[in-house]
Amino acid sequence: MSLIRRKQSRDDTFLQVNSVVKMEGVSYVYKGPPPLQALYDINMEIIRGEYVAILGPSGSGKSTFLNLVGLLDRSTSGKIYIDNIDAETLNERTRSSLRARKIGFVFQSFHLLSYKSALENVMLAQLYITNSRKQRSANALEALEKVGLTKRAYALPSELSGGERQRVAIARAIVNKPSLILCDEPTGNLDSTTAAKVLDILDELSLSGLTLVVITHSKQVADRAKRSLLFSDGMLVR
Amino acid sequence: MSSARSNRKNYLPENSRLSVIDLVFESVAAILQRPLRSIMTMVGTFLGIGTFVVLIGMSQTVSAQISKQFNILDATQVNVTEVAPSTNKGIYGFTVDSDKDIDKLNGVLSCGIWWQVQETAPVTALPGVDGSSAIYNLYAIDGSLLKASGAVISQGTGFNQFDISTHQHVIILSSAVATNLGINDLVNAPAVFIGGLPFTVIGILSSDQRLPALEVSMMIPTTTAMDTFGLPSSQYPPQMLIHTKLGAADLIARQTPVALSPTHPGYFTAISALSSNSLKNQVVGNLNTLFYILAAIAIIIGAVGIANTTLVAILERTSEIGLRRALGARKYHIASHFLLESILMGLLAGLMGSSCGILIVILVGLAKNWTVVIDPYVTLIAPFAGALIGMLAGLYPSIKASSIEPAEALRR
Ligand SMILES: Nc1ncnc2c1ncn2[C@@H]1O[C@H](COP(=O)(O)OP(=O)(O)OP(=O)(O)O)[C@@H](O)[C@H]1O
Ligand SMILES: [Mg+2]
Repeated sequence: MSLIRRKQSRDDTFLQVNSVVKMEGVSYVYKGPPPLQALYDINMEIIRGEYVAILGPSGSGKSTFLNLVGLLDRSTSGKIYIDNIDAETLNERTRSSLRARKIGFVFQSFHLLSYKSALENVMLAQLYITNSRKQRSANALEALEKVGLTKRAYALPSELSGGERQRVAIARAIVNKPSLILCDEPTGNLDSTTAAKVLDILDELSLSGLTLVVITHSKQVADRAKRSLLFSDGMLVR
Repeated sequence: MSSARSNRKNYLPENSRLSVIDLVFESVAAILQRPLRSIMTMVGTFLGIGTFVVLIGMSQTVSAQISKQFNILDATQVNVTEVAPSTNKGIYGFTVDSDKDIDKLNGVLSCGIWWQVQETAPVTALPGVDGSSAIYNLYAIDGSLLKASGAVISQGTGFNQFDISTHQHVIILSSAVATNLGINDLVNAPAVFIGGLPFTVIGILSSDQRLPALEVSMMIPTTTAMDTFGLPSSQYPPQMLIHTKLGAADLIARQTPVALSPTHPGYFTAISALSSNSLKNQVVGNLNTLFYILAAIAIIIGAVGIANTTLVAILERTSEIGLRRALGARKYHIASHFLLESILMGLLAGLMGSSCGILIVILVGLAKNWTVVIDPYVTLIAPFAGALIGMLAGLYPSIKASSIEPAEALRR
């Protein structure tokens, strides 16, 4: 931080320090064949602690956008900063470590490993960060407690309901205390009551100061977010 | 821009890591927690290695068995022939004492001299028995030959010391010749006439283990043969047959020429039944080639099957790989994890395959009453061959699966 203050003008400092995601002229082309441009010249910034909903019709490029933010893919052109780090120029090793420490993912289809218990699934997020199994287990139990699943810690995903599975996934996303939680339609596979419970948890996380970016088709979710970005045909329209 | 670059160092988090213990733990857990999957993946290696061990074990056991059966006959027999023309004053290269010289050698059970008598006149039985006449092979044999050659005398006796030393006109007929001549028993002391000379039939030979030619012939004492038909011809030189203890034949064959003639051992060649030895080697060799080809086919089919199942098993877990990458795993973590999994499964399958293979060979051996022979190296190497196959099969898919972008992997 001292470095930033020294090199940047005072006016920029606040924005720089609190910027969690920043995109400058980002575009993305699926190589195909045939090639398909999914994003055009995206410029945006997300500030620490924001709760942002990503809206837009199917195929408008929401998931593509989130993959770039989550460093799961590389942009075709443009710059992406995560916590002020220019992520596009980093090598594979550093991008992996940024993903591990700064970003938590929640997917529509949960992506839990069927052969691991809820606890082990949460612990997996720490496997590539800390060598202490004991530490991993303690942190995972703490995260499961936050989503109210302490009692189901040793259940396999197949023994959990859809809502419970998504709560395990949320516990896995927050266990490393990341800067940013990215959710791609987290309630897409859930009925409205179960979805509400998952959204309550996201609200709590937002209140505790975490930055949330949530792709959604549901008004229910969009209403809870403080800000929304609207995509259309690969362009950010609002 | 320059600021972002210079800042980077300060802000970059520690690298992702994966300790060796965690790596092993994750791999073992993935194998054990999905037992059915793991077994399905290992079946190919298990069958491949198992078949390989069975085929190698069977080939070695069967070869040993064949050798053993050949050797029982082979390694107990030495044939000695004269090479150089006789220069000593004796009647032929072999002397009267030759038998005794050889009998002294350790490992000799018995020995005897024989040759084929060249000129044989028509043979008739005593008038009144049968009027037919024919020519049969006639052999001169000494008193101990029939013992050495393993002859079976069904009626009467062989030649005794008296017959030999007094040049008796006695004869032994093989049962085939006796039947042809109409001689069925020795009750009335039958005689045969060779070129008009009478010989008393004193024995009938029904079979001969080491000199099968005797089974269709007539035999007279060596002394009588020389009296009546002269010295052995160069076409049919005298030979000595030595019956030895099991396995002693090679050694005896080497010692014989010296024992017979310490000054001129080169006069004799002694051969331990090598002809059938080369036959044995040929049979065993053909058999081994067959087994080795089958074993190679088994391992190739196994390897292809394993490569295929491993490929499918890893590609099937592409979304797991995407997830692990999303959680911070580096390509190299993924590749080593999945590679270790296939190596461990290959090792395990190899161990089980070779154990079952050995068990099968032992059971077959017990059932057939064979001595089981398995090269210990095969049993030691087989599990590692499994691990190697696992590694080779896992190498390509694990590297491939780890090199796609996580976003792409997660979509699968
Ligand atoms: N792997 C791919 N290869 C090629 N084209 C793709 C691929 N994934 C997505 N696309 C295309 O890129 C465009 C954007 O897709 P994206 O998944 O980002 O849409 P989305 O807004 O997330 O849609 P949805 O709401 O249905 O999830 C679409 O036209 C889609 O067909
Ligand atoms: Mg989408």
